[in-house]
Formats: sequence, C-alpha cells, structure tokens
Amino acid sequence: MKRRDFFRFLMGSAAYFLLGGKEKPQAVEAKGEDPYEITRRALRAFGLERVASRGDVVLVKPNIGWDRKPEQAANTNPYVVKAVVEAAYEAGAKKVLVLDNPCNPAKRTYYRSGIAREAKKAGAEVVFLRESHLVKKKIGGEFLKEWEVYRQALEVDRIIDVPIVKHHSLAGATIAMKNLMGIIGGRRGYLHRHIHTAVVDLTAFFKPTLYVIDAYRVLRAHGPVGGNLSDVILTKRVLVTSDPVGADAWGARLLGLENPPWVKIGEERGLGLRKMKVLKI
Amino acid sequence: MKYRILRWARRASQAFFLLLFFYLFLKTGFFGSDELSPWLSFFFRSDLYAVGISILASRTLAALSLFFLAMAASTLLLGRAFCGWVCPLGTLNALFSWLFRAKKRKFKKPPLKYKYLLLLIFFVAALYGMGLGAVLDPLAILFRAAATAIHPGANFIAEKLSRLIPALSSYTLVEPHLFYGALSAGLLLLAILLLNLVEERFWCRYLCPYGALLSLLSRANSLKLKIDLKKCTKCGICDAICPASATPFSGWKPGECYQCFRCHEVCPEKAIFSEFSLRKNPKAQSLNLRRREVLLTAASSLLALPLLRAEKRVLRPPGATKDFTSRCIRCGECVKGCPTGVLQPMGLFYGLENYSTPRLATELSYCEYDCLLCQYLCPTGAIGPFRPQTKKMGVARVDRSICLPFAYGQECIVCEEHCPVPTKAIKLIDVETITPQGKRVKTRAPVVVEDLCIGCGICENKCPQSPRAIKVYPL
Repeated sequence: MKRRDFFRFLMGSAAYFLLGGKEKPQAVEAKGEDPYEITRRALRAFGLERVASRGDVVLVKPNIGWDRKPEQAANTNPYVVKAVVEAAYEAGAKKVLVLDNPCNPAKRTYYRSGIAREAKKAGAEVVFLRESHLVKKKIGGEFLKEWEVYRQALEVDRIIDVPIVKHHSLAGATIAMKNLMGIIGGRRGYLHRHIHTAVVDLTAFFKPTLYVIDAYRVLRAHGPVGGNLSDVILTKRVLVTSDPVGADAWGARLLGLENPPWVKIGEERGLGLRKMKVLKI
Repeated sequence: MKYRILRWARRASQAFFLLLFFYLFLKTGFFGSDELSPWLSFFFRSDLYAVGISILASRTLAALSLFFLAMAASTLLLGRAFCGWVCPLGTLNALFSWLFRAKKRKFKKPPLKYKYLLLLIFFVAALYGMGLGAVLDPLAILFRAAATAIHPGANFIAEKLSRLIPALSSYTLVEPHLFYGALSAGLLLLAILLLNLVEERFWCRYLCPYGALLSLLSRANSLKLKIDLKKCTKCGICDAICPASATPFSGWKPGECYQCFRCHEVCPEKAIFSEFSLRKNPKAQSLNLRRREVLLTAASSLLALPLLRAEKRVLRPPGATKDFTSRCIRCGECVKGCPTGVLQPMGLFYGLENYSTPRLATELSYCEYDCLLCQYLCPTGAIGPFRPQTKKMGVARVDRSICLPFAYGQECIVCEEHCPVPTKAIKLIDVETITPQGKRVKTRAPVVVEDLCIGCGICENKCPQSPRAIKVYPL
C-alpha cells in the first residue's frame, strides 16, 4: 500500500466511524487511481454490513456482455468485481456467485473481460449459464408480464448489481437497471420496444440490495459494444448505493444525460430518488 | 519374444496416437488464448493425402509444412507403417475388428484395386481444382464425425443427465452447438466401423484412398519382409492372419503391408524376418490394375467430375481464400474450434464439391469480432491470415418490409447495439413511419454502411423479427 492510499484508507475509515451507527450514507462515491482500491474504500465507507449478512448466498451481477478487454470499457472492470466479491465474503456471505447472460459467447467474454479470473481469485463461483437454468416467471411489470429468468437469481439471498457506465444508442446509457437484462433469457431484443419501462420492471422484480457502479472507465460513444479506445474516458470513480434510481441518475450524468426516461419512470414507480446525498471520499 | 515386444510397442503407439488425436480434438477451441499452436492440427498438416490434394487442386505450395515433409520421408522409408502404427481410424478399425472377432465369415474377397481407382478419381478431381477427395481422408472422417456428431451428442446426453447427476454438468459444453453435417458424418464413420464385421480392417484394405497413396509411395519401402525358405513349411498361416492382405507367403505386397509384424510373430517356424534394403521391390507386388481399367476410370472422371461443380458464392470463414474449395481439406478443425458454432460443414444439399466445407451459418450463430482461432487451426491455409480489422465475409442488408422501426414504427435497434465494428457499420437514421394503425411515428431505424460491414452476422442473429429483418449475404 502506498502512503497516499494509506491516508485515503484512513479517511475512508474515519468517515465510516463518524457516520457509522447513526446515519448511514445514501451513497458513497470514491475516486482514485486504482479501481480495486477505490471500490474497497467505497464499500467500507458504505458499510460492509449493508453488503451482505452472515450466511448469505450472494449473486454478484457484473456486465460481462461483450468479448472485449477491460481497457475497452464494454464490461465491468474485473478489479471492481473482485473487490465486491471480497467485501461480500468479509461481510460473512457463505457463497458468492458471479454470472451474466452475455451477448457474445460466455466462454470468451468471461475470460477476455478478466472477470472470471479475478472473481475466482476472490473465491467466487463463476457460473456459466445454460438454457436448463431458465424458469418462466411472472414479472408483473407494466410492460413485462412474464419472462424467462435464470434460476440462480431467484434462489440467492441477495443480488448485487455491478454495472459499468456506458453509452447505449437506444436507451442513451446502460447502467444499473439495464444491467439486469443479463439475468434473464429469451429473445431479449423484444424488450427494446419499451426499453425504459422494461428495465424498471426488471429492477422492481429482482430488487437488488446493492449497486456498485463502475465508472473507472466510461464508454462515451458507440456503445454498448465499443471497441475504440478513443471512445473511452478515464473517470476513475466508483459509486456504491442501494438506490437504483439515484445510481442511474449519477451514471447518466457522467455521460452528459440529465434525467433519462427510465430514471424518471423509476422514480415515479417509487424505486428510489433521483437526487440523493452522495458522500465523496 | 522380440516380436511380442514389437506387438506391444505397436499397440502402445496406436493407443498413444489415438489418445493424442482425441486430446488435441478436445483442445481445439477457445481456452483463453487467441492464438493457437500449429501442433494442434499436426495430424492434418502431416496428412500426405489431404494436403497433397490441397496442393494439387490449388496449385500453390501454401499447405506445405515441415510436418508434411517429415511424413513423406518416413513413408518412403517405412511404407504404410502409418496405417499400422499411427492412423487413429486404423486403430479404431483394428479395435472394432477385435470386438467383432467372433464372427468369421466366408465371403468372396473383393479385389484390392478399388482404393487405387478411387485415388485416381480424386486425382483427376484435383486436376480440375476440386478438393473433393479429402472428404474420404480417414483422419478427416474421424475428426468430422467427432466434431459434429459424437462430441455434441455426448454433450447433449450429459446435459440431460446433469439434472439427475449434477457432477456431470461440468463436463458439458457451455453452449451446446448444433451441427448440420452430423448425420452424414456420423453415418460414414459408423459404416466404416461396421464394415469390420465383414472383414478385419475392411476400410483400410479395400477403400482407404490415403492408404492407396501411401501404398504407391511405399514401393520404395525399404523395410522389406523376407521368408527363410529353408524354415518355411508352407502352412500359409501368415497369409490368413494378415490384416492388410499383404500376403507374405504368396508374394509379399509392400504396398499393402502395415509393418505390423504380426506374421513374424505367428509363424510357427519363425521363418519370417524383415530387413532394411534400398533395392527396388521385386515385380510380383504390382498393383494388379489393368491398363483398360485405369484409362476408363480416368476418362469417365474427366467427363463426369465437372458435373459436380457447385455454387461458389457462399458465406465462408473470415480470411477464406478465393480458391477455398480447392484448398479446404474438409477436416473439420475450424468447425470444432469455432467458439460460436457459426462455422458449419455444408451438407450434400449444397453440391458434392462443397460437401463438408465450412460455411458461415449466420442463421445459427455469428462470427465473433475479436476471435482469430480458425486461421490457426486450418492446416492448409484455406483460411488465410486475418485480423479483426481485415475480416470481410459478406455484407448485411436490411429488409425494410419487416424491420420493426421501418415497417411498424417500433423502437428496436438491436442490430446496431450488437454491431461490433468499433465505429458501427450500422448507423441509425431518423424515419417517419405510418404504423399499421395509421399513426405517424418518428423512430430511429438501421442502415448498413457496406464499406464498414464485415458480414459477421451478429445483427442477423440478434434481430428480434422472424424471419430476420437483417441478413448477411455473400459479397
């Protein structure tokens, strides 16, 4: 650990102790050079006990959608995932699953994103999804009434949504809520007809308990696949919150989007608040 | 004693190469590395028959490798030892012959010459630039059947059983693929294995064109079988047990002999021995082909083969050369290695010339933008070198009459979302559509920039419409 990192750690811990017990921060934003370190810091400041409870089986859902390398910022940063998995275990989780239903073949995306490697190092079980894992489920949303969902997402005690902030040509951006499209099956292109309502429906159905937003690198154009390094900017930030609406509003702002439609719909449906107090560390 | 050791050495060698073949088979694919070693396909790179056809048909030396030269040299020295010691299909045939051994049938033995005539037909085809002959390459037959029928079949069963036995699930494929050529490839292998019921190693004796080629090359076979006439009691047991019809007693045929030393071992008088000699083999071992048969076969192939020509404008793997059907040896390496399962062997429906050559089956899957594997697997360079930026397989076209935004004014752009070209080969334009309800709606709709489109087919694959509103067509 470098001295600077050590002081940062002290600051984070101080913030944690100052706020701990009485008022928990709504959201914590950490900034720094190392994606692993800032995620760790943010999670600690947010409160490890809010990450997982003793004996939980936790599903960590990063974006592992594309056959791209971490620098291309099409998938969640592998070190952010590693920090989240470790935090879940530190909080007492019994088992942590890491999975995604990717757009490109899983055996490539899992490896090329670096997520399989880092998640395994942190002790997570990396699950390759199969069709036999799908179950039809009542979603009960405004647009999505019924859909095929991966069994694992229903069986775990809690879901931690770990998206990356990216440009998306239809929705404008893909952040926390849209990331949940990775734990459903079927012909997902159908959701694009009413994408904003659909992702809110999914969020209301799955109710992740925690959102860790990776904005270490942000893909600003030609998303969600990207590929050009010139479309990627280094923002070196991570946000931890339990509010999907606030999380997406925060991420969208990084892409220059104010109040995108699904954020508004999410707030109207009572999933969270667009404006939240963010503790910056 | 000496020959017993040799027998076990031969069995060990056969087992080794059979296991190696399947080990390399299982290693053929994406396991984290984008580059693959040429050793993965060394069985095919050293395949004198298939690579020979590729060289002849394409009239380039691109497929020539050290593997090939080493194999050629060893054949000149040792004849068809490959059949007896290495060939995995030969080993399977021997294994099945042993399993079926109870059934000793009396039947009129066919002549040995058909495999030579088959070789001649494929030789003429190669002169026409058709790489057709590789379809019957023994290694390719085995590999194709394993890749398209046996392995996916085993996976399917394991996947079903894994509901009962969860431990099995780790042995199944992540994405079980479907293969078009499965039935014909599987049946061909099955037929060859069942032919061992008729006679031991029936395929190797009478039909295998690779065997025929090795046979022709092995006329300089320098490991020569000899009989000590002073010891020989003319019992003829060596002729009877020979798995290759090489008839050591009634005139040894060096072109048929697998160098298996079985006759040496069974000879009750130990009268059979082998010795190295560079002298030409005596005349008694000629192929027994009549000039008329050869001329007739050559002439009819010359006339008939052009009828087998097939459509060339099909979607091919990235990096495919212009003379793809000449160079491709139908081995199935790329089909097995393709992580998305988009490379599919073409069925008989596409014509015999195309049979079992790989096609980009965009209706099933798509070519992964960053994937480079097939160029490293192709043993003949039919799939030439390429990078993601130089892939150009076809071009996508939008059918506006069924495309959701164009035809119904609905939001979609799934194709644009998935387009992997860094600057997007699918652009969005603003359109105003009159919906079936008569409403005027503004939406964004996809158009393809042909220069940028690489024809990978992910757009076709992810299109939510049925039939797909965007499809890839050959250039």
